Amino acid sequence: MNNSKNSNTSFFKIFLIFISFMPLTLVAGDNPRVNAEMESELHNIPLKDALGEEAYNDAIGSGKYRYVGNSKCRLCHRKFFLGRKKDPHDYAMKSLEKKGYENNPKCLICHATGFGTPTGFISLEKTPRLSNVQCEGCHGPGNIHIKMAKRERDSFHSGGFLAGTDRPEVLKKMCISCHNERWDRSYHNLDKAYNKYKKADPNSKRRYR
Amino acid sequence: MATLIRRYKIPIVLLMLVLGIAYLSYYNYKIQKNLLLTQMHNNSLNIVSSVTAAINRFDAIKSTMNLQKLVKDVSFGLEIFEFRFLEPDGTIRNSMFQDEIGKVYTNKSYVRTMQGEQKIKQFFFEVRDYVDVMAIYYPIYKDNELIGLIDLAVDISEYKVLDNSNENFSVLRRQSDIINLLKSIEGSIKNSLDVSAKTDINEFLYNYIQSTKNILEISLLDSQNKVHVSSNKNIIGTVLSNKELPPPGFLTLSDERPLYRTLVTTDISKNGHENLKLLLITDATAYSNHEFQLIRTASVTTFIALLFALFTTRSIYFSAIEQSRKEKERLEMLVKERTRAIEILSKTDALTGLWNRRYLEEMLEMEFKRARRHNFDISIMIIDLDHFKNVNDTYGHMAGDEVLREISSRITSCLRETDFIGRYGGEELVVILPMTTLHVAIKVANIILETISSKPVVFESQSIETTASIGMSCLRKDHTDHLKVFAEADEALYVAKENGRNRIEVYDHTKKESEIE
Repeated sequence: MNNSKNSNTSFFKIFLIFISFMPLTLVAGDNPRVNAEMESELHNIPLKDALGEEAYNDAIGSGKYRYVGNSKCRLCHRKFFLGRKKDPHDYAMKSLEKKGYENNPKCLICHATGFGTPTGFISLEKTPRLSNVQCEGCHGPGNIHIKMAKRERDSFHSGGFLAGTDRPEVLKKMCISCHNERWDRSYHNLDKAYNKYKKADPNSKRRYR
Repeated sequence: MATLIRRYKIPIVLLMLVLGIAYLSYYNYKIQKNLLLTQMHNNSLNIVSSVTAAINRFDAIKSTMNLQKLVKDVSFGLEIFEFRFLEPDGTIRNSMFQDEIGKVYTNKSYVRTMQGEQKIKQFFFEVRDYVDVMAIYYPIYKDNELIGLIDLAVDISEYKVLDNSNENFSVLRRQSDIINLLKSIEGSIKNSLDVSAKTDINEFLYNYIQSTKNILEISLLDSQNKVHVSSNKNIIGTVLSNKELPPPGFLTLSDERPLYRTLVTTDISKNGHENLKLLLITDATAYSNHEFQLIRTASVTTFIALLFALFTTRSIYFSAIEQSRKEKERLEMLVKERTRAIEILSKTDALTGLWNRRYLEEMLEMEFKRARRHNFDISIMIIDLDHFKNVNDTYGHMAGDEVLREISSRITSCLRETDFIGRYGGEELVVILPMTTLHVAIKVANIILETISSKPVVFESQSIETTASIGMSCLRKDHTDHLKVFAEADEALYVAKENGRNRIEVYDHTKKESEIE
């Protein structure tokens, strides 16, 4: 019964998305970049690109790091949670769904949080809370950060991430990994974009403190 | 004074050392003690500040005592999106978000609910923070009076993605789970409110003291030293006398237990009294133990230094005595040796090493007396080298001396150990043969003569032929004087010279007597 229901819902969902994003799909047409991406090899996991293969294997292989989802981040960084809800990163999955690529690993590797890692995004059905590019999509698994924050309380400042703000060179590599030559249309100046995303709501003119 | 100092230099230096060490250990003790006191005082101040904060926050703590734990316990495999405990007026008493505690909740759905436009205790769907949630306001009543509301929201965005409908089966199934959870939370909240209502600040302080090891009493006093709040219920309301209120940081001994009292003005206000003073009494047993240990260490150090000094003095003293005793012994030995050497020198002849004339005469007298007493025999021979003057004239005095030395040693080799031989003068040698009859003495004399003439004396590649004449005599009963015996031997020698030298003549007393007659 469940199976039939699932198939029904998915059909319904695709239909709805198709209807709702019809104008967009008409404008976009057949995107040559998408086609090029489909023909190219599977993209590296961004975290592996940024950290280097060895450090990535050490960190992820140790089993200490786990993706927790942005509702946990919200408990302390509520302003960021709200700000990023308006950001294109939070609609990454939607843009896949409208073209029916939501199960394509070539796309999911950048459009979901931690896809390809053991604790990251698997599929919309299994891990809906890790869809879209959330906080952990760029900073890496957050469980250690939360653990540290709980232990050190008020004195805690930063740390615990594989690509935290304390390691900007790694964090910038995370950006470049997905926003490569093919997909860099979103920005032209990395440093400018990087500074913009320091704000809670990167798309607003107002600066949060 | 100066001589006294010079004399007792070492003891004085050692005494100074002991005094120095004693002073140093005392100084060390004092510094450590002050350090300990400062440490204890700082500890007390830390305790005071934490107690002050605790008292100030007491009411707040009271209300949220158990709610904090509840938030952590909330799980049930549900993704809790928001959890708050609200007072009926909308003040947030507790929340997942620490920063909004104490503020007034302004959510539209809450306002609607409180105005009666929305049903209370019923699930509804709304969007919070751009996320689809299923929420409920769950009222908590006590004695039919609304005392608070639980605001619980569950994230259902995933179901919405899958189903696009709020009336999802799995969402609805969750509602019963959530209701069960809320019921248990309600029970806990009621419980905790009951408990906190019963807890008053005195009890709180008492429990605070129980949970620590060395705090004995915490009291709040007003400016008239009246106790308003105290962990010790017996003194609440009493006015403490100045005796019980020593100046801040004063160490007193009472009931076998050293106490440390700290009296600090705080910013606590209670029952209309502002800026109450906080009196903290802590157990200073650890401090006094430490102090005792410090004193003991200092005194032991001093005592050891004293012992060391005494021991050093003693060993220096004894080694000095030993040294002086050894020096004395050495000197005595030296004197003895010198004396003996001088004695021998005074008794012997320098040239030949034989006894000299004086000692010979002494010995002759002694032997004469001994022979008389014990009725022993005694023989005397006088040996005279023949033509010794010629030797001196021909070969020189050095040759004469050599001849004398050589002949002396040759004669000595012929004699027995008990015989005395001495140089009487010039080339005359005298031999005393105690306990020897004339018969034996003649045999000895013959050997001597033979030995002398057996080979010539060699001096600087010249051989000097030497012979000797010997006159002999022996003790007889009619002799009254030793000189007489000697004279008789001398006479016999004279006879030997007369009779042609290189021969032995014995004094013929019969002839002599007849001559006299």
